[in-house]
Amino acid sequence: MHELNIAMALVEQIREFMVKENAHELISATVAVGALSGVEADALAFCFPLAIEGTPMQGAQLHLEPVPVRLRCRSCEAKSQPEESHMLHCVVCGSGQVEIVTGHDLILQSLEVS
Amino acid sequence: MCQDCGCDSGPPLHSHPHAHGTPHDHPHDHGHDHTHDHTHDHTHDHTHERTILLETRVMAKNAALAEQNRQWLAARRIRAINLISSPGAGKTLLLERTLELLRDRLPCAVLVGDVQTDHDARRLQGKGARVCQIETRTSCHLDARQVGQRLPELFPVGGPERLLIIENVGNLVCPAAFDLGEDLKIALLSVTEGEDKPVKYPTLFHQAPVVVITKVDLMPHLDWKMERCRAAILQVRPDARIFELSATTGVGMTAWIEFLEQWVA
Repeated sequence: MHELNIAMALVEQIREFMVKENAHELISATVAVGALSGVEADALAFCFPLAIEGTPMQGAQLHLEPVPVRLRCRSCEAKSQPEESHMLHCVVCGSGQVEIVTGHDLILQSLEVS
Repeated sequence: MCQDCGCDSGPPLHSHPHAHGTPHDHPHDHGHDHTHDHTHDHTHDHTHERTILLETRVMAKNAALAEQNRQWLAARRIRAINLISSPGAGKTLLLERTLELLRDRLPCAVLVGDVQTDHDARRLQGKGARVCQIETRTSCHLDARQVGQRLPELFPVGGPERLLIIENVGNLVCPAAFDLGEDLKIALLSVTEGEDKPVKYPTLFHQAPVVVITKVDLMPHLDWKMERCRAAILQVRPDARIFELSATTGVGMTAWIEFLEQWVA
């Protein structure tokens, strides 16, 4: 399980942004979890409270927003969303020459602070 | 008062007639501020909450370190592969045979990641390549920082090495989330595992342009369907290059070694 490492990297990143923005209290953080990001949302949700325990962020909420895989076909240009995230073929023409537009990343979207 | 025209501190836009091209400037400004010393009475009792929009990658730090590794290696004309598989897929035996076959043909260095022990590094010693072990302890993957710290000792100045082989911690999930600065991820899959593993672990197999199917000498004893496995790999990575080999018997090793030599060249 690498989600604890990721939760700790996330907390460090949040801390840096809070200093930069002169924010005092973290109320919540919103993270978009791509279906192919390699990060299990449940495990990250479990690890986040552990990563902020004993820090000034303790008690903050973590909102996780699942991001499905969306593909753009290099053959027919169609944009599509496969039924399962491991079916990386164009839904329209079946070509395997696809580009993953969303769903492969883990993005810190926003912080709610005071 | 404006020193140019005498206007009364004036609106921001006022003009002075002059011939076109006459150099001039407007050195005064009409700035002002809102500093004042009286207090405001806020009758509401909520704190000032605000939302900061970021849209940044959580793995940005690892990605930046990985990019540093990539540039460090590229500056020395060293190419790097990151071998990823589940525990027991045969990474270390494949590496032993690979180092023996590449000896005197392609100078390389090896970085081995394990949760604990240096057993794998010891198995790989004495085969002509410099070997370095990282014990990750509690961690189930290598990260870019760990790799970057070892690069200077793996590649002394002026060394002949052209290839870095990173043997990641045996795990099909976590290593896929950490870019190490490699040029190529290679996934290994042994015939004692399920043929459908690529679709069960699409994050890794999608990132791996090369897949090596190991232990093919065991196929007669198993109900393993090579075509099913190839179809599963191509489902998540349609352009994957697939090698079938056995490091024990040597079947398929020639194609693998030739591929590495050509890829580095």
